[in-house]
Amino acid sequence: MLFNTPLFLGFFALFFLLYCFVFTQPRGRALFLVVASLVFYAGWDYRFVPLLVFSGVVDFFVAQQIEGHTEQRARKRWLLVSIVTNLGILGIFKYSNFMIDSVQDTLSFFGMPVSLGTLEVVLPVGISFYTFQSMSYTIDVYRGETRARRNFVPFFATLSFFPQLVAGPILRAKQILPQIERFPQVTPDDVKFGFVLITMGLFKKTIADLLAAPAQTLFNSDAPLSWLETVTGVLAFAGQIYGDFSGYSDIAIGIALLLGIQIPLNFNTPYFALSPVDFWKRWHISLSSWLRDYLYIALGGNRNGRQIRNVFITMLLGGLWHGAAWTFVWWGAYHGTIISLTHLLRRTRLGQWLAGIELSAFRWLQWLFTFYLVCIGWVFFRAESMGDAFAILGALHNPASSIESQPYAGAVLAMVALVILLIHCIDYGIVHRRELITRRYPRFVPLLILGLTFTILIGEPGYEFIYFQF
Amino acid sequence: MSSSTSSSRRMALYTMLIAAVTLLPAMGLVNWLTRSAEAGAGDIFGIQRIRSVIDSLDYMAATEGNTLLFIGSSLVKDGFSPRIFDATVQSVANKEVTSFNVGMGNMKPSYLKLLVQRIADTYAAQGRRADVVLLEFNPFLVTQAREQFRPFMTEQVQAMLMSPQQVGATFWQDPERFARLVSIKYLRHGVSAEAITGGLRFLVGQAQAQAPLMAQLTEDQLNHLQQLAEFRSRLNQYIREEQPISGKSHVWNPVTQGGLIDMMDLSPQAQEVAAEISRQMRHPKAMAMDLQSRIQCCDIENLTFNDKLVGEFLDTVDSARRFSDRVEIVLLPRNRQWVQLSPAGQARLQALLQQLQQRTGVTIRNYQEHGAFDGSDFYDVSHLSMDKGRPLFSSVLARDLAATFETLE
Repeated sequence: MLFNTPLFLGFFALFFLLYCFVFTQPRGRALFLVVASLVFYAGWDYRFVPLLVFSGVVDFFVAQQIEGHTEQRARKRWLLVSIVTNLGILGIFKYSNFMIDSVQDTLSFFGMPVSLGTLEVVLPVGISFYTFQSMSYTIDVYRGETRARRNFVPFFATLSFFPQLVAGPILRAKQILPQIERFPQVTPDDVKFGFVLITMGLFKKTIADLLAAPAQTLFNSDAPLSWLETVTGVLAFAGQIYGDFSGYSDIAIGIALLLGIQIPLNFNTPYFALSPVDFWKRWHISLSSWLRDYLYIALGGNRNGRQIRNVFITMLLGGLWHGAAWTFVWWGAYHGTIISLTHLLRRTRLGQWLAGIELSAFRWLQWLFTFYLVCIGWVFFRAESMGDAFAILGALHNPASSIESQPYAGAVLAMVALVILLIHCIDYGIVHRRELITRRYPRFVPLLILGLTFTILIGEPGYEFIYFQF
Repeated sequence: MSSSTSSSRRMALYTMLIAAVTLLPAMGLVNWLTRSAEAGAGDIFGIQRIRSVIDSLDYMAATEGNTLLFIGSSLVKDGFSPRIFDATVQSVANKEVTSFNVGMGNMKPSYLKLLVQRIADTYAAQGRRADVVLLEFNPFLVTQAREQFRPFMTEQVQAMLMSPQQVGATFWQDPERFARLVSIKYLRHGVSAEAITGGLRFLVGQAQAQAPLMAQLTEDQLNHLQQLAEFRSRLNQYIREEQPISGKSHVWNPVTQGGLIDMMDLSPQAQEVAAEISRQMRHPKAMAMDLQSRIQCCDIENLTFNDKLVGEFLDTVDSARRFSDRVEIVLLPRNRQWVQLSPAGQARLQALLQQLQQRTGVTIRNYQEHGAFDGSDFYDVSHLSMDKGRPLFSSVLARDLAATFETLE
């Protein structure tokens, strides 16, 4: 059940009426939320509902065990149970065939071809999101940052909270559990801003779907394209993934707001970043902060002079989290490298001198270079294989290519660039103008109507959100 | 009721108000935009004809006397004049007949099947039967290539052709699709988002594909195109003045029995312009380009058939039998001057026609190779022209069917 479909509209309308007029007490609401979330999830594939429940039951039980033990070794053992269970689920459903293929390829490379077959497993939608979310709960309990819950229903309502169940943002139990336990009163400002987020999220998603065509032209092409079309394709994918994912996050956060649940924003104008480090503070914030808090810090963070190593490992695993393919591993390693280089540069005199430059022209250059680096990363992310990625990168850096462009290629490129800018303007308004939007809401209503009209008119409900596959 | 509960309900009502303030005007705007686009630019969503046919089914079913329905693709829409057909039957067999043109563009068998089911349901609801039903079998609409043609149209065409009961039945198989169909059929004026974006992409693709060809056109050819545009504009003007009611030829009209405006409806000046348009459209360059596009979209020369589409056509024949005792299959004339079937294509067509004959047992009237038609009877590589081909085919068909009508009460 996609957010941008009439079916979801019907589902949510019915849910909302029951939520507000029938299940008005916190206990009943939490239980109803669980039922609705399971129905929502079963809409994707009912066979994986038990897996979601299993993950929740294990972590609910493990958290109590961790809290119940004072001995550090026992606490650690129980935490390990949670981590092994969650990563085991991920490993089986998401990475088993990738590992089998990789072993086969490696042996074949060394002249020992073997056929290990493949496992008939289907990737459950949202598995990467809910396992991380569930794990964060047990880790927080282990660290003493939150207490283990005795009531399963609110805990599971948090884990399975349908607006963010299948594609995030990845929530921490300590952020959302207290809200679901008491269901805070919704304010008029929540409603207004929630609607702005939902409408603009749908609008961004529609734009992202339009950008899919030029991106597919490049990434699905068997033959090399002209330089202009290669630039357009890469840029279009940069816009597509941003509009698609930030659109989904906005809708999820907006829906939660209508229910009185506050979820932090997941994007903050990422392509305005001035360095790779800055980019990761603005892109998929819930994942990057999760990786920072639960992986990077667990590895030792920037202590003992191991910052570079830890950054690299964190980004590498972050890349692998996105998908079971070498292209994602490369994408993670690439970002690990450019972030590490940024850190190394900052330690040098040259880096300090550069940081001191206050010329706006230099800031523009910094922005342009960061955007270029991020776009290079998207090539690894989107390409079907490493070979394709390097071929596209080759074409991207060959403006003298003799391949002729299709007619109107320049116009398409200009439109793609404009559309990316438009998404950023929306994002900027959402992040920085919340107070103004809610205070002067009637002034924004015509814009919302236009955005929604555009979405209804050409928003194709058939397009899935890219992050569902992760 | 506690104060927090009542406050929560107040907020829920407030939320619904905010939703209504945004959603209802947006839905209104979407409908206004699609309706205005259709009013200004004709059948740009490819749905107006379908919608008008569906709206006219009750009228067709209620028509008294001997009736004939000719159901098929744009070849039927452009190539069959019910009024010429009826007049010819009257003169040849002295029998009063009312025929209807139920031809629509892009009508591949999967759509045809839904349409014929819908017609059968309408006739059943009125307790009526049609005397004769002609089902067009268009070979190039049953090919593998055509199956993949304009997939973005599928949902909206199906939504419009399906009855409310058929739409309702999809809920149990695929709730997602059910919601989409309901939205297209009842909330979006029959126009799906895919049709708009897909249509735009199709047009952009066409423009990109044609741009190099256009760049190669000589000055003479460009002048020719300009002239053609001027003639078309003049004919439209004549039609608007002379036929203000039935002027929108793509909309199914009871006055023309679903057929398009005929030469006999026009003044001599307008007829002259119409004939000139047909002649101009047969410019070798334009015909060559049209042939190329038909080869690409429909495999018109090799005819590699799609089993699924063939199966759907067979189902269509069965559905047609629900409301008529006399069902026949008709193949319209082929523009042999331009479309040469390959030996393999020819063999495949013959084999398929035999299969259709064996499986359905109905009469197949095959005009593909009919000697009465030549290149001058078409305005492009597949459609009969208004000035020559349509009247000729309608009267040839009427003469061939006259004997059938003589046996009717």
